[in-house]
Amino acid sequence: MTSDNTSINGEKRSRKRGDTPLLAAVAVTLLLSVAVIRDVRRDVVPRESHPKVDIEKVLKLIDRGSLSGREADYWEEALKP
Amino acid sequence: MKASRVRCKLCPKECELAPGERGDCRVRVNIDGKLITLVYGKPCAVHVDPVEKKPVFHFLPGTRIFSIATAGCNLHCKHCQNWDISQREPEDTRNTDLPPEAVVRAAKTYGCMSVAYTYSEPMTFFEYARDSSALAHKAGLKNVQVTAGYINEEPLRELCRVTDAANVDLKGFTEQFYRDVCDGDLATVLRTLEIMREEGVFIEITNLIIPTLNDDLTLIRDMCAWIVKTLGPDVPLHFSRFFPRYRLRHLYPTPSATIEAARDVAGKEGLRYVYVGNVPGVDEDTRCPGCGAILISRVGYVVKSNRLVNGRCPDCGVSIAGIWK
Repeated sequence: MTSDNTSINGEKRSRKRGDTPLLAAVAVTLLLSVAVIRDVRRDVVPRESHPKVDIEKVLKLIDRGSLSGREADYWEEALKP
Repeated sequence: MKASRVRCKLCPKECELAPGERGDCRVRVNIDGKLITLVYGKPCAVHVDPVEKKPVFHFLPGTRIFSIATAGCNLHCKHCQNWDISQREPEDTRNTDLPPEAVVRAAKTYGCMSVAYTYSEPMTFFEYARDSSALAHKAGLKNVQVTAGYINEEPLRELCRVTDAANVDLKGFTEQFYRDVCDGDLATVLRTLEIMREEGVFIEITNLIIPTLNDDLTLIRDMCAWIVKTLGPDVPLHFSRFFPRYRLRHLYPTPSATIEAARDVAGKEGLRYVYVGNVPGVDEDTRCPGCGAILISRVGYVVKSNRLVNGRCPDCGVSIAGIWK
């Protein structure tokens, strides 16, 4: 949408009363679309992103027995430093 | 010595974790250079269910199954009906102390003939499910994995050795659906089904039909054709009705007509046992593929009658695929 309010045949047209609500509706729609897209993107955890654990908390929970720490069977040391 | 990064080899995501980091499944953590599972022997859900609830219809019908789950899942389905445990860290769920020996003891105490690893994702609590399954076998119990099937080949084959039956959630039949809705991939799940077949696990498949996302009858036909060709026509297929959940609350429930159309398509593709779930008024009976007689009659999760004789139709003698005793 442009700010030009000149019609194709060069006639100057006055701003219609309905334009402002229309613009507001378009703006709100765009904002909502962005919000929805952001929400959808948040759903998928990026593969590279592995959240840090509160390791002290986890170790305490393991000690208390509310979690059971056991070495996993399928893993290897990664090559990258 | 400086703690090192580790790579989890359990599922295709193969998370590489620096010390103190948590895997995509939320339950496997790098602690001091070792990969630790936080949910071994710590289920957050423990129930005795009718086996029909899993659903497995061709497996010890009318019996009770001891069912356990821990927090966490390696997929992140936007429609997950158990997201309050599958998408939570184990520190944030209320867990019970139930080591594998206690699972077996409790299952027997409650008169169950089998144990189900279910609700969230047993592949994520792999070590716990495997060790419990091994002990259950020794005690004469059977094991059922209710799973999305998103796991690497080596641990899968190990788990299959102590698994009798599985209900695998085949969530859609395109890579795009798995990528956009589940954060996984279709090829891995199809390979899981093939491996389970090779390993002699009795398979049932559930397909949840979600309006606008995976309800294209052409794709459903392709999926059924793949099942018949790769796994055979005797694999029971459950079409399940979607209800708005989790991050897909804006969608409407699956129309009954869509589910029934899918059932017709599956029958035309040659599948012999097709069931419809979550649709009131539609029967979930098992019929003989030979003569059409009703063999197992069900209402909800209750078996009203079971006419099978040694796994065969009493009227025409056709053998019905399944584990019946």
